[in-house]
This record gives sequence, C-alpha cells and structure tokens, in this order.
Amino acid sequence: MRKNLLLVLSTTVILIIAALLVSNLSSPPDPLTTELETADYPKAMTGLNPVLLPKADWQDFDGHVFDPARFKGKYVLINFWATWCPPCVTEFPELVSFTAKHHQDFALILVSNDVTADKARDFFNKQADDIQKYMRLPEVIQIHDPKGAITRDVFQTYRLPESYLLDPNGQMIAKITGSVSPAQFDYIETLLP
Amino acid sequence: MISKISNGFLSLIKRAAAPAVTFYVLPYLILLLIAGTMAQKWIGLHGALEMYFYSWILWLGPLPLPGGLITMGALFINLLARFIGYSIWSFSRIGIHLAHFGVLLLLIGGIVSSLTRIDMVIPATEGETFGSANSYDQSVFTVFENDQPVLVADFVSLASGNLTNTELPFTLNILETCLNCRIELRPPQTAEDWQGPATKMMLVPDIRNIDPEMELPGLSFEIQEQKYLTFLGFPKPPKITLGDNSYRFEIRRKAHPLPFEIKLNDFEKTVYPGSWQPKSYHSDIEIIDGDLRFPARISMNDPLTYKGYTFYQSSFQVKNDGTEISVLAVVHNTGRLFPYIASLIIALGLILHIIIRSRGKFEPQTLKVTALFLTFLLTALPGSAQAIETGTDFASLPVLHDGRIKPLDSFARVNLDIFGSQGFVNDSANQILAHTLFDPASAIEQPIFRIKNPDILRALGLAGNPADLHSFAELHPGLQHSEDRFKAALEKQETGQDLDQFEQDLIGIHSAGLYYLQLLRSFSFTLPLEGSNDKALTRYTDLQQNSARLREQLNIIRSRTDDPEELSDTEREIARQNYQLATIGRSGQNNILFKVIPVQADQLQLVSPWQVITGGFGTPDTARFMSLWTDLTLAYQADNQPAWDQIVHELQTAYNTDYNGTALTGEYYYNQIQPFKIALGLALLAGGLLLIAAIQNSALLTRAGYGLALLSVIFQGLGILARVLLLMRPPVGTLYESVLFVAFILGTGLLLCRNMASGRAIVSGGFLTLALLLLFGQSLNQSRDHLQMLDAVLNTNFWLATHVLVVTMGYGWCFLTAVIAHIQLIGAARLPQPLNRDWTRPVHLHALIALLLVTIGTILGGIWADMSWGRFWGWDPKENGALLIVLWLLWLLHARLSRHVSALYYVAGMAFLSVIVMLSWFGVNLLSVGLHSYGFTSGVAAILFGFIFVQTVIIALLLILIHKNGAAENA
Repeated sequence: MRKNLLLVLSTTVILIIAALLVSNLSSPPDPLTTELETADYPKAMTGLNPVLLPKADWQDFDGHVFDPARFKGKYVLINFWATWCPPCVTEFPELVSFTAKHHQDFALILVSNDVTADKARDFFNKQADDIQKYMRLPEVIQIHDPKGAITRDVFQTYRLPESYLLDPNGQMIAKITGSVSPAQFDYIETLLP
Repeated sequence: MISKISNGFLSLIKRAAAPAVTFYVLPYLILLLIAGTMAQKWIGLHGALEMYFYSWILWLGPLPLPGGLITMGALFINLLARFIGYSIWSFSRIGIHLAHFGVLLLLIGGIVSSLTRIDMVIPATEGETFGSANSYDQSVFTVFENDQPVLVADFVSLASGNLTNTELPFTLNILETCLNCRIELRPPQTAEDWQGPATKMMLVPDIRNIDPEMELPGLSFEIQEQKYLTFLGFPKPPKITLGDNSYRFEIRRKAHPLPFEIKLNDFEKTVYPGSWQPKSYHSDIEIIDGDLRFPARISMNDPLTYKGYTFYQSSFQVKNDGTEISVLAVVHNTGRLFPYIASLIIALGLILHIIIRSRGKFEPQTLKVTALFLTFLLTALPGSAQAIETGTDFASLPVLHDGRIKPLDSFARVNLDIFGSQGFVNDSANQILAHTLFDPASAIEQPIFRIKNPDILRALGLAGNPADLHSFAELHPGLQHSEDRFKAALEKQETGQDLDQFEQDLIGIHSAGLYYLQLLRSFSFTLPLEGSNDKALTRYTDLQQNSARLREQLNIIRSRTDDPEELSDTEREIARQNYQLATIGRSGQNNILFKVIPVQADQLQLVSPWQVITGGFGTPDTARFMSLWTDLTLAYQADNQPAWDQIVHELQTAYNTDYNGTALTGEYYYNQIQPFKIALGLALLAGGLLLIAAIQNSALLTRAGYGLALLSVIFQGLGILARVLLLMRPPVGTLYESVLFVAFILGTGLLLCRNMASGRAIVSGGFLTLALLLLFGQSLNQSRDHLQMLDAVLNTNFWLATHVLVVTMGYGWCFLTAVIAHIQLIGAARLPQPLNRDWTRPVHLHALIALLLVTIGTILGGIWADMSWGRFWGWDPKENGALLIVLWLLWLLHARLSRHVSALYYVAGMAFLSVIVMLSWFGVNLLSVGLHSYGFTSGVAAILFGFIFVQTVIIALLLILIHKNGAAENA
C-alpha cells in the first residue's frame, strides 16, 4: 500500500515538474528583454572595419600634392569617376552640391580616371555656374589619376563609380559601389553633426 | 444485476488487456506503417494519411481492413486495460509503468491534437499587419458587397444549384465546382453568355494533386442569365453592379481570425558565404494585442508562442520583383504539450527500467564506455572561438567553396571527383589544380577527365583509351557539338522527369567541362595576352585601364572601314586589343568559382579575383591578395620554386589574420591521412584475425585481433573528432556522417562485448560488419565534399546534438544487438544447446538499450520537428522508419514476455533487426519524399536490397540448421 502511494506521489511530482518545465515553452517573450538588430547601412553601401586611409600619391590636375589628413575632423567622401562613365557624370553635380550644403562637416575628394586632363577640364567648364562655384570650395578636391595608380592599384576599384566614406578620424568606414543613391545621401546626413 | 454488469465489465477489461492483442496488433501496425510509408511516393503524404493512418477502415479493393485509427485505438485500449487492471505495482516495475503511462499520454495527446489542431499560414511582406491566418488547404467562396463580405461559404460545401439562405438581392446559381481545376482556352463558339475573362477561359476539373496546397479550387456560376467564373487567387475576380451596389466574387483561403494582430517589421536571410544556400532566416515581428505591443523574433527552430498560437518560420519566397515574403506557419493545438510531457515520462521510465533490471549485470567496462560517450557528446557540442596560427603550404591556403572555407587540398580533391578521375591520375590533386589555374594554356592538354560510358565517348566523338582519361582539349569540340542534347537533358531534369544513364552522364560531363572552364579562367585577367606587341598593355587589367581610349580608337577605325584587309598593323593591334578586352571580360563576368580573395562585405568572406574586378568587391585590403596571387601565377609560369615558396608563405601570413590556419592545415592532414580508410582496413584485419583465432583457439591471435579492433575504433574516434573540430558542429549532419558515427558506436559496443560468451565470435563478426558499413559509407557520395554544410533546418547545434546523435547511437546499438543475435544463432547451429530464456539474455539487455536510444532519439526528433515545422509527428517516411524500429523491438520484447514466440525466434527476430534498421535508415531516403528527403542517394537501392536478401537467407539457413539438429525443441 505504502509502495503504491509512493509510486503515485512520485509520478504526480514528476508530472508537475514536467508541466512546469514545458509551460515555459509557451510563455510570451518578455518585451523588455527582446533585442532586435537594425540594419546599419542602406543598400549597396558596405560597412568596413575602420582602417586608416592607405598612402597614395594624391595629385591634382596641376600636379600639386594633396594630403587628405587636411580634412581630419570632417566626414570625407572619396569618389572615383571619369568623364566617359555616364553614371559618374550624372552624380557629379549632386555630390558637389551636397558638399557645398554641408561643407562645415563634410568634404569631397573626386578622383578622375581620365587619361588626359583636358577631357576633365572640358567637363568642368560645361557645369552649371553654381556647380562651378561650389567646385572652388576648399572642401572640394579634384585629383587626377590617369594611370589608375590610386583607383586600381591602391583601392582596387575596377568599375566606376565607386566611393569610400571616411569618418572624422580619417578612417574608411564604408564603401559605396555604383552611384551614391538618395538613401545613401540621407544616411550620410544623419552622421553629420 | 450490478455484480453481473461488474463481472461483465471486468471480463471485458481482461480480454482487452490480453497480451495476445499486443502480439497480433503490433505487427499489423508495422505492416500498415510500411504500406503507408511506401504509398506516399505515389499518393503523397495527405493521401497516405487519409488512407492508412487516419482512417477507420483501409479498403484493399473490396476487402475492408482495420485502418490506422482502429489499430492504434486497439493498442490504446489494450495498454489502458493492462495498465489499470493488470499492472503489478512494485518498485522493480516502476520503469515499465512510467513508460506505459507515457505512451498512453502520448496517444491521448494524439487524439486531442487531431480533434483540436488547426494549421494555418501567413505569407507576410515587410510592413504588413495580420489579424488572421489562412488555412493551407481549405477555401471559401466569398461575395463582397461594396467591399464588405456578405456571404462566406466553405468551398467544399458548395454544390451545383441555387445558393439558398443568402441575403443576396439576386439568385446565385452554382453551375460547376472543381476542387482542383485546370484553366483552358474556351472555344469561341461557347463564349455566349459568359462574362469578362470567362469568355476566353474555362475551368476544367483536373485530377487531385497529392499536395492540397497546390490545388486550384474554382467554380462557375450564373446570375441573371449571365455566367461567370472565379478561382483561387484570380487577379480579376468577376464583378457586377446592381443599383448602387457593386458585388465581387472571390475564392480565398479560409481565414482564421487571431485574438491579436501580428506585424512583420523585417525579414532577414543569411546565406552561406559565396553560395545561395540559406544558412538561416528570421522574421522580426511585433505583436499588437490591444494596448500591448511588443517585438519578437521568429527564426528557424525558434518559434514564438502567444495565447495558444505558435508561430514558426516555415520558409520564404521571392517574388519576380525581388520582394521577399516570409512564410510563417501558425499552429493552434490544445494538445501541443502532451508529447513533451509524455516523452519525458517515457524516457524516464525506460532509463529506470534498464537500471533496475540490469543491476549487477553490467561489467565495469560499461561505466568506462558510458563516460566515453558522455565525453564524446560534449565534444559534439559547438566549440569555442578559433585560435590564429600559421599554415605551412599551398594546399592549406583557404578557398571558399560550397558555403564553407576549406583548404585548397579539399577543393582540389573535389575537383578530381567532379572530373571522375580521383585515384586514377598520377599527379596529386593540388598539382593538377595549380597547373589548371596558373598555366591554362598547357593544362588543357592534361588528361584528367575520366569517361567510361561508350555512348558518351561516341557522342563526344572521342576514341576510348586504356586509362579512360581525356584532356579538356580533346573534350572541348565534342562538348560544343553535343550542346543541344545537353540542353535537352537539362530541361528534362528541371521539369522533374527521369533521366536515363546517357542523359545523366551527358549532364555530368558538360557540367564538369563548365566547371573546368571556370577554373581555367580564374586568373585570365593577369595572364600575358596572346600576341601582344604593346609593352604597356600586356594584361587584361592594362586593357581595362585604357578601355575608354581603346574603344574610341576602334570607333575611329570603324568609321573609316570595316574591312580588316585595309587595316594597318597598329589598327589591327587595336582591334585585337578590343576583342581581347571584350572576350576576356565576358568570360570573367560569371567567374565565381575560385574564391580566395578576402573582402569585407557585410561579413568577412572570400570572393573570386574576377569578382573583385567585375563585382565591385575591391578595397585597399584586397590589393595585397590580388598582387600576391598574380605574383604566384608568374612564379609558376616562370618555374621559379624559391619565388613560389616565398609567395605562398606571404599568402599564408596574410590569410592568417582572419582565417584559422590550424583548422585548414588540420583538414589537409585529415585528407592525407584518411582515418576512416585506415579504420576500415584495421576493422577487416581485426575481424579476419579474430575469426582465425576463434577457429584455431589462439590466444595470441585473439590479443592481436582485439588490439587491431581497438586501433580501428581509435582511428574512427579521431576521425570523427577531427570532423567535429573542422566543422564546429556535431558529427551527424549528413547520411555519410551518420554511417561513420554508427560504425563508431558499433565498434565501441563490440569492444564492450569481448568478455561475453562467444565474445571473440561476436567481435569478429561485428568488425567485419563494421568494415562493410564503412565501405558502404564511402559509396554514399551524395556530396563530393564529405565535410559539407547543412540546410538551414539542420543548422541548429542543440537539437542536432541531441536528436540525431541519440538516434544514430540507437542504430549502432541495434546493429550490435543484431550481431550478437547472429552469433547466438551460429553458436546454436554449430552446437545444440538449451535455447531458453537464459540463452536470450545477452541479446535482451542490448535490445533494451537499443530500444531506449531509438525511442528517446525519435521523441527528440518529434520535439525538433515541433520546433521547426510546427508538428510533433507527421508520419514522414523518416519518422515512420524510426517508429518501425521501435515497434519491431517492442513487438519482440512483448512477445518474449508473453511467450508468444520461442527464445529461438525471439533471437532470430533480433538478428533481423539489422534489416529493419537499414530499411529505416536508407530505405526511406530512396522514396525521396517528405521533409527528411535531404539524404538523397543514388545507386544505393541495389546494395540495400542485396543486403536484405543476404540477411534473410542467412537467418533462414541458420534456423533450418538449428531445427535440423534438434536444438529448437528446447526453445
């Protein structure tokens, strides 16, 4: 009799423990502790492990050497382009306008892959007056890379346009393949103070 | 009167509890299970469920047989009657009672589930909110009045004729309904009176689809002498206007309202790097319940339960416009908790029973082996973070292939497998790979494609040769010539038709050719251009750099003339350069095979060099690797060994920052050593030596045999450990791996049995079986990469570790039981001995352990299925296979208890367990149906049926021999 009682009791205890364990499976999640990841970057923008800008021979169309460190403290976009690249040509005035709007905190380094400087200069002269005015801002730099020494050899850019975003510490934090899209412009704006 | 009724009731319980019921019903259930499983291939899962498992009567032509519900009902009543009326309540039987109680609870849960369960689905796009979920297969005919539903009728309840009891202001006459319709063009002469799209199309009843979800219910109807049709998902449902009201007629999936709303905020899917194979996917949702709102994540194997509704991440779809749809399965099941509780009780009961019944019967080795298993289970759990170390040579460099990072050595071996020449060429796989990558011009002359099929040789215009080996240069013209036939065969394959051997081989050789082309062109951007006179433009990348100028120059030339004869040398050079730019560029566009360049794109992964050039993956980080691989190419072409060594070393150093050089080198050595081949050889030697030792009664040979057996098991264990470390997951994710693991369990168990009576014979026979198992495993080449990645549903280490490990341990122990049974039978055939219950004890104990492992493993599988697919048990072939083993064991064990079978036939039945396991393990995969059809094999059928035939003959012969020498009379 005692044995049977023990049996029944132990079975009941096991059932209760099992029910309690299993009931945990059906409780709703604690809304305060559930974490969700959010997307960091807009489409076609890839986050990079922050790394300092590699060394390169940054020369403008007049042969003057430029040091990107000059823009420390600002966000910088390095854009690789050429006059024979239609999407590059389309986004060119948009990039310049954006820089003019935010030049306190943002700078633009345009790296032209045109073989001859004349082609690029012709292109500049055909820009609208306000764009030509903005191009003269100290925050807009024109680099000439006729042999692709910077574009291909250093940055491994084989298709244009491509851009790299640098943070105020001079570290590359993101890469954009193709043209800079409105979503990407918006994203960059959110970074600016 | 009352005592009469009471006596009658007790008599009824006695009959219901009779052991004979168990003895006769269980094998019938086994037959039903086998028939219902095989039938799924032809009538589908739903058809099999309706006909076999969830039917009261199974009609075999005019013959009525008990269906699944009657059979399981009989077992339930039998067990219940026995449990209540005839259980001997003692401590020694507590395990059995708990197990029986658990089974009763499981069956009760099944009844509750079948009565209350509702399965639904929500196909959600981001941003959508749902207050209901749709049925999978039930549809409703809905009439909308000004976009408000005024009539909702179950589709199956509709019949031809006027719809009655509606508040519609018109008469709706149903002309015809079809549960599964086919849409055909309407002959113009019959278009009169039909409206809208119905003038051009008509619905024709089609045969029922084995999958109700794929069916297209539709109907035609008439209103005021105008005829219309509508069907499920019709983009232009018929509309009419009467007065101020507009009416729309649709067929939709039946919606079940939810007591809350669910909103999909985001759906994310990750693939294995460099492949399309989904690694995992999840939905971030928000539950909106009145004022309460909270976010949650639903992912594979991690459902969400709220207010009795469980949401599972079932799958996803991608629309033509690229929009992703997250498919959430929703289950409302009052009986959901029963299997969990029942499973715990059954497992506890079985464990208790074995412990209680085997007191004093286990040798000390048991504890050591148990400790070994537990240690092993721990090693099977996910490992810790990787350490960074340096690799040693080219073969250990990392490449991303088939969704995982592997050393070039593994990649090279896979290549040879694809070409069919693994083991048939003199050069090593790595040498052939290097030759192909870095010197493609001469590599195409190397005979590395093995073709044996004479029809294929003929189709490719090739002459056979003794080695059956051919180079790509020989192959290429034939591949071009047979391209149409290849495309036709591909189309057949894509539409699910069966292919004959020629078509299969044709697809194989063409695929191998395309694969080889990708390899050949991996570094074409850096190889010297043919016939180049321009020192500045010697490579494709140089051409690309000057592409604008070259195109401009070509345009100028073309504006002058189109005749190549009129071109100057310089102009010809420009034309050639443009041509090379175009063709090399085109060939590089889809060159994604040789993924060795590390890039940071959402996550660290490897891409091919061409992807860097054409896919925008280049960053300053890739420059170093591109440069090193280019230098490696040049060193190879210049035959410069010191430069090669130096560059390989630099590459190793560069890779080791982010990739585990130790794991890669480890895999390289794993490939070289091939521990399972060594284990196979040792097992054969051990089995043979022990057989001779048994015949000659030699102690020395016995010790040597046991030593070799132990060595074999050690090699297997090390091999499995290596796989665990290399893949960082439990070692039973694929069919091949399950074979390796079962063999290991069998080997370990056999070593445990060496001190049993006839232990030498048991171990000998067992290791020979083990060798066969390993050999069989080698033939299971379902993936050329034996260290392959897993489908998303398997990619969950905890359930993988528990369910699959336990169930494969169960298979191993079943094999062990069968081996022991065979040895018992052989012993009885050789020497007459008393075949009584004592004689069955060695088999009996191991059978109990096998039952425990397979039962727990099956139950864990049910829990895993509930987590992943929303149902504990679905009568899937693999599940049925596992149940088959359990039922077989239960039947024999109960028959032994009730003495319905003699000791001899009990042991013979346990010997036949090997066949049951093989049917469950491999046989179900041959059906290629169901959720478990990921273990696809081909050519295994012959081996399987051969094994069944041989086993049956052996057991039958042994029984005949035993009967002949009169031993059976003692049973």
